[in-house]
Amino acid sequence: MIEQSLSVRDLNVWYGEQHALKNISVDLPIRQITAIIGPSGCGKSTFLKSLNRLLELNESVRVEGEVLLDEENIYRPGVDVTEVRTRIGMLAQKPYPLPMSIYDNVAYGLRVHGRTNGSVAPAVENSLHAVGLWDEVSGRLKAPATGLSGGQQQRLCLARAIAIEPEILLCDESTASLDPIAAQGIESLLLDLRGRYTLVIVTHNIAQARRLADYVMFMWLGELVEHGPAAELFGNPKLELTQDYLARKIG
Amino acid sequence: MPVVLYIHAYADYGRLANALRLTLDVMWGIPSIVYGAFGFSLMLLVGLRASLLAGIITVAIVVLPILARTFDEVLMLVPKELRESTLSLGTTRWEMISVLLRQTLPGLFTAVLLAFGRAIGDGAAVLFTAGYTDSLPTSLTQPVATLPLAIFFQLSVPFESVQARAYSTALVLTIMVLIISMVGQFVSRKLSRNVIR
Repeated sequence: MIEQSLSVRDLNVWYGEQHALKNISVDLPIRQITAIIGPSGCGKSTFLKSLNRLLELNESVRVEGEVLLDEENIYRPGVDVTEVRTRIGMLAQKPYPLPMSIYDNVAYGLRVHGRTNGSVAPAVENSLHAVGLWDEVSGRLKAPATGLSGGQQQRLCLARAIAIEPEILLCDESTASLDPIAAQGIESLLLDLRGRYTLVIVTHNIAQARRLADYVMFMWLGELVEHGPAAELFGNPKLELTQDYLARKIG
Repeated sequence: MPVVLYIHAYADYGRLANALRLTLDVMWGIPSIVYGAFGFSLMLLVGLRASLLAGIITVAIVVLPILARTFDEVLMLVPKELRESTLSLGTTRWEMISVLLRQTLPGLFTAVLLAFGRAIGDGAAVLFTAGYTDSLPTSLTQPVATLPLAIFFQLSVPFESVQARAYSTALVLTIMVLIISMVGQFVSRKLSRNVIR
């Protein structure tokens, strides 16, 4: 049996009256890439944001069920949300650097988590190396992050996320707003990170899911229709709905 | 300002936030002469005469809703994703405030300028509370002339030489506002160096 990183049990989410996620139960394999596919509005992003409790920023959201991280439900009352979010990082759809310099963007998270100045600088350098940004920005670390291109900004956001060494990284259509070459860059970075981090990516690009995923979840109208190892789900989908979606007949 | 920051970090768009916004909007709409009268009755209550201090307090009340609501609007413009990105680094809401502040610094500065413009040009609020005098005050309890009131009183004097002074006062007031706006533009541009759009 595969080792699990996150286990979701009977997860239900409502936005007001709208039942957005219905009885989702799934185990996410550790240090592999899980891709969530499905048409727009099927609850992919909602599911992703429920994994690091970012969902509760929205008004009138109600969550039921369990998300187990190390056997512990992150929705249990009394759980330290900031610790959950430290262990489960996130890369957004569009790059949103923080309103500060390139260096501070990566250093910010480290400082917030109480790292001393002496240990911040090497960690920042490592993270920037890891995303292949160091050579491009090492001469202008104090410049505002807004001066970078979209692809560079997204890599900066990735560096910022991995600087605080999360166990799990959630990516919400993180290449959707980038040009093909920048998107390719992010994709290959995600493949590099696989093996060290558990990655959960949302994508509406089936080709991308085929390239990256070890494990696939197919969602439809708030339900988890089918999930399984990528080879199985893409090679031999069990349900007609999945077959039709993969064949682009629907969705 | 702390109240507004609180709304945005914790209360978001709850009932408390809406009630507060409504209050501030109403306060913004009240003519400043009403604040003047209010400040005047407050002065009588504590036995204070028309003075610099009373004027300061009254003008502060006039300016408070402008400052708070403008800053509030600026904070509303902060993209939702910026908060999400910050929080997903495992920051507390309290720590997120520093990011919000950095993002809104130019806006905050604009709010201060706007409030300042209103304060310096407002005559009615200080009519009763600050009094009028021809000499410079040496302490908080002495009356003081604001520029708009100086224009008003100097113009109503039937001597041409004094009236001429009113026009020069008007010129000084205009130039001050001009300088403040220009400095504001400049500083605002400096501050928005890092702002995410």
